[in-house]
Amino acid sequence: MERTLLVVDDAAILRAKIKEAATSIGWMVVGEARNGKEAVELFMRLRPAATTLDLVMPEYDGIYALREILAADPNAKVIVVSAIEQKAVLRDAWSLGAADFIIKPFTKQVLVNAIANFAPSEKRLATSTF
Amino acid sequence: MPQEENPTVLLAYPETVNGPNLLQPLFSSAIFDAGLAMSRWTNSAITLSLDGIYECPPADVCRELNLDGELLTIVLLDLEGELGGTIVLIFTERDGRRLASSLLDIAASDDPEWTELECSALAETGNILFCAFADAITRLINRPLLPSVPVFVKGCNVDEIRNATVKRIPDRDTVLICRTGFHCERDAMAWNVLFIPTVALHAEMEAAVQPYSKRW
Repeated sequence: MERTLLVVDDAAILRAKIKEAATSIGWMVVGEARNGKEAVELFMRLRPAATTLDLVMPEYDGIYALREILAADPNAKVIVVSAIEQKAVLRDAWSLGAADFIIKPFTKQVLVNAIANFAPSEKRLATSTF
Repeated sequence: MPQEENPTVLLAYPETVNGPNLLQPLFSSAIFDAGLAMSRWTNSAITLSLDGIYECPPADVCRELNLDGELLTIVLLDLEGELGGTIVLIFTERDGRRLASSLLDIAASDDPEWTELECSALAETGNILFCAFADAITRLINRPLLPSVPVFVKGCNVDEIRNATVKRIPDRDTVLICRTGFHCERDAMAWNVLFIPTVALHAEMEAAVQPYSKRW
């Protein structure tokens, strides 16, 4: 499986920053979405190795997208990236199955580390096959 | 001057724990957190200071903040949920442009049309600032305050800000202004924050800090 990333954020500046960080460690950004509905559509079509997901977005929010993506693929790796650091929100995201949670504003290193954690490992895949 | 003769200057009477002054520790904490978030976001030493807490009629907001006559850029965000409110970040156009160029690492543009990235840079600045602010208040009142998608508006005049403010607080005849000073390194910046809680949120915040006020 390739290192493919779907970036979901309504803010163009953050999509650009996430894209820059991901490509710097060899990931390929295969899609960018501005709201939860676009995110779900792109996820179904692209099936990326990981997804970064903002929570507060216009029309369909990140919680909607998280629920739909994980319903379609319970093993999907979704990194929630949000400026909201409130217990209730964190609890919701974890309980739905978020793989990680990054608080904005983040440093490039924090983001890079989080994405790298979900790099598909060929060795691990090969081992699990047998 | 007795306080009742000048109701807009409450921080000049620190011994008084009535009214908005009661909220000083809460706002100080929120502003400290917001300053850390802004420093991380802008990658520079941004310091925020609580310069005053005022209550005034919505129509007087721009005069209180010395904004008359300026062309302004605002980022506006509503707090959703049971306890609502509005937060407005106000820049002069020139300062807004400077911030956007710094965040994007490009030369400041004087093109009247803003690019999507420039608009997004300022909207996200508001989002990050307000979320840090709301998170700090949430920790104290123990109730969620979920910010809406930030709305970025450029080229505003004071009437538009006044109208937007009045529209958002139908249940209030006064606006609580948390006057916030912004400094980058040592330079003061012409940014302002308006925090306009609903009556319910205002009461909730006061109730949360009330037990601590007896220790002052």
